Amino acid sequence: MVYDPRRAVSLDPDAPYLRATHVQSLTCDVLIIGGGGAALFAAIHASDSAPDLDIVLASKGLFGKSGCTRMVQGGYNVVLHEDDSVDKHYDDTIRGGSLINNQELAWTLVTQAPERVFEMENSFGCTFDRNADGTIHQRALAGQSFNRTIHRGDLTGIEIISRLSEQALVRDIELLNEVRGIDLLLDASGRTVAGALLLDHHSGELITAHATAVLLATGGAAPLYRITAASLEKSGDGLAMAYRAGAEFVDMEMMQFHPTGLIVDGSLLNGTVLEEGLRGAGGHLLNANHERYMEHYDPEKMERSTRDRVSRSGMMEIRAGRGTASEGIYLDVRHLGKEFLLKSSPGMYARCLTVGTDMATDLIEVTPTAHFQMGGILIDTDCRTTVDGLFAAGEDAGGVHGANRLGGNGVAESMVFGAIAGESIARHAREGTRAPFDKDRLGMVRTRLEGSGEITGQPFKLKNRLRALAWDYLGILRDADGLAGAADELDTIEGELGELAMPAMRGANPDLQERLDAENLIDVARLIGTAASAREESRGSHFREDIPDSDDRFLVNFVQRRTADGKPNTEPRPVDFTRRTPEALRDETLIPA
Amino acid sequence: MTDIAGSKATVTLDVARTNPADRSHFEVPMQSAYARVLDALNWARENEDPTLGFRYACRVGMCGACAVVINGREALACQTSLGEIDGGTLRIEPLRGLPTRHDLIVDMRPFFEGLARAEAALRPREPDRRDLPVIPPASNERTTIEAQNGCITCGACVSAIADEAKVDDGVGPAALNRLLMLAFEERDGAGAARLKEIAAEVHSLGGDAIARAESVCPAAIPLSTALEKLKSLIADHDDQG
Repeated sequence: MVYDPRRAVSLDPDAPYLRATHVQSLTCDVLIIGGGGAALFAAIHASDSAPDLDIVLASKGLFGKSGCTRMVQGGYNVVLHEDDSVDKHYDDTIRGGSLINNQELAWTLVTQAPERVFEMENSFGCTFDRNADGTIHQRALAGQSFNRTIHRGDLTGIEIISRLSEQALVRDIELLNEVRGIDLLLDASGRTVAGALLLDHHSGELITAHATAVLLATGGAAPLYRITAASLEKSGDGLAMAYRAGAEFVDMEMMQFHPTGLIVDGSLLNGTVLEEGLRGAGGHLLNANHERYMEHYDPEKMERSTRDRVSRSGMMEIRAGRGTASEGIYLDVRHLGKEFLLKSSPGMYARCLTVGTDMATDLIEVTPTAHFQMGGILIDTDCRTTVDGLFAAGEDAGGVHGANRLGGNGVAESMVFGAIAGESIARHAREGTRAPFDKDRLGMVRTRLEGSGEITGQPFKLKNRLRALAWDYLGILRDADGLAGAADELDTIEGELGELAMPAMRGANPDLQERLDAENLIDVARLIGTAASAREESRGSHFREDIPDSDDRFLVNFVQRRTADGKPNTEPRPVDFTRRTPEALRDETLIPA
Repeated sequence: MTDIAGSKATVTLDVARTNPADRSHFEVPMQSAYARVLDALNWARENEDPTLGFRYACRVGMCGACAVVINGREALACQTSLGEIDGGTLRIEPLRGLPTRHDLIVDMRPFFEGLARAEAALRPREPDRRDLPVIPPASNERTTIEAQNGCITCGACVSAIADEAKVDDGVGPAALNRLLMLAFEERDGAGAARLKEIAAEVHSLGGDAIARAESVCPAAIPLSTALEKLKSLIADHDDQG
């Protein structure tokens, strides 16, 4: 059900600490913040496991339209074939993650991925591509020992999110559109979550949502980077809210860059992904001299190496002056033939045509592009965070993918852990009680949003500066000096943002939204920067030009949490090898021909 | 700024604001030969008016969030190249038939409620099944479903027929199209039960209106075919009693 907040929510006159006008409150059992695949899956599972609960889903954009599940191209990794096994999927996932994945979370992913596919097909009506005889089709993505990726053409996400959205619509779930989370409410102890303060973009109303359990599923912070493939409204809101509430984080130095983002200078289209299936099917990467440069970086796997290596290789070619005028490289799929390309990648074919490139006859100019955040809020296999009553799923959570995510494991994570989170929050809400929230904390958050200032346009400029900074120093190639300089510049940008008076107009104000986004991105950037400084080695997607080799002393996860001065404390924690030792997985993944 | 051979170096946006009496005009430099209407709106917001309200998310035509009316015709702002537009001025309005919330942003609630009212969602026949059904892609049922698939729920169709059919009075072309898919879906357990509820709307929706909705559909879904097939299904159902 879709509700207007004004209809679903009543004014609470007994709340004297809420001084300003335009304040509303709502009470619910379960509050889900997010509107993509993990959030919707969680809402559906929470509703089905406990239909009597009051479930509210607050989405920053339109539910089902914001977030990145809808943009999934390549597909979903799942063991369905008799010659494949969950052990193989598991080993590929841990090897792909350079051995620092949380082994229990990764095991949960590979063992529950089939269940969710059966549910999507039989209960929600998703249809993934079939072979001519009606059996499921599975294709090759990089870093896999078996062709196990199910898909729907090259626009898989539309099918998944369309079917999830309609299932959410016909259930008793309160869907708040264009209502963002500002900060979490905690109880007096500061260790138990009690809800969240929300903001309606259009009316400007603040909504105090008092909840027994809160799930963060807002997506990651890839838009922190100047060039990104992610949906641009995402700004790591869940991460920043959890950080300010004292939750622990893991692997925040691990940010994935996809090797082939389309270059469209001067357009928001810039950086959007051309799917990995094009390389899986035999596409080549060339530098500006038309050399197949992967020969120098991974001569065995070439373009079908994992995303971290392929992206880094491309960036190194560009840095070495062998890139194109637009600082890109070329994806060459001409030899695959028009007929094959139109059949296997019709969406990409059409997208390239709109920027004047015919894949069948032209080289495609591409760039590595910020894609997916492996790091995130520390969770257990029930999606519990270290804050009581607070849960996280999808890109907000960390640990499943280690130092690098395999293509096709991202949407699988959102579905598997979205479902788990839905059942966990329902259980927590049934068994727990709504803690009274700390009114002083709420008052402080609210006071920060009481403004008298003008609308200046400055937040747009500061956010662009932040994105350029992250691209240059927190990106694919890092070193100690760059990371130190970036930390100082983050403080400067935060200072300049803080000096802007909060605008008096809260509703219908993109300038304010941009500012809130930038504030959250700064928190995430700090976590990334400090973890990247602490990891004095190179591993997976984290590459230090000053320390280019991996070092077994760093078979650790960096765990972070906020300290009193607002900066993160960062500590190494040894990887718990519960299912595989590093020695068992030293060999490289064998890629089928 | 790149001056692109054979095209204008700037484009003028004439944008509707929340108050219908207000309009804003922006002179936007063409940043790229392939820049979209969305790029022009974004340029205007970042450089001229930070309060300008428009909605987008994916920017690659997959989410449908940026549907607006461009020079009188529904389209996705992210999929409409500035170079495609004739004349120097782009008139941009919010979708029709849905309440405006902020400038070009409409309240999509009535549209989504149409989908919910129609129960345009699978009601599973075998929810506990633990394998994947064999679905030959060339079967008659599957080819019918696939021909109608791909809706991104952007709302362009309801906007295009706003003069003839109010969103609140029916369920709208997108929901009707989904119901047709479900009528052929062997995994669905609700069968033809949903069709009874929409029979009146199917019969009252004119051929011209549905053709207009089809002509603006960014996913190129054959909505006229959907309506014809629904009519025939409903007739068959009536005959059976």
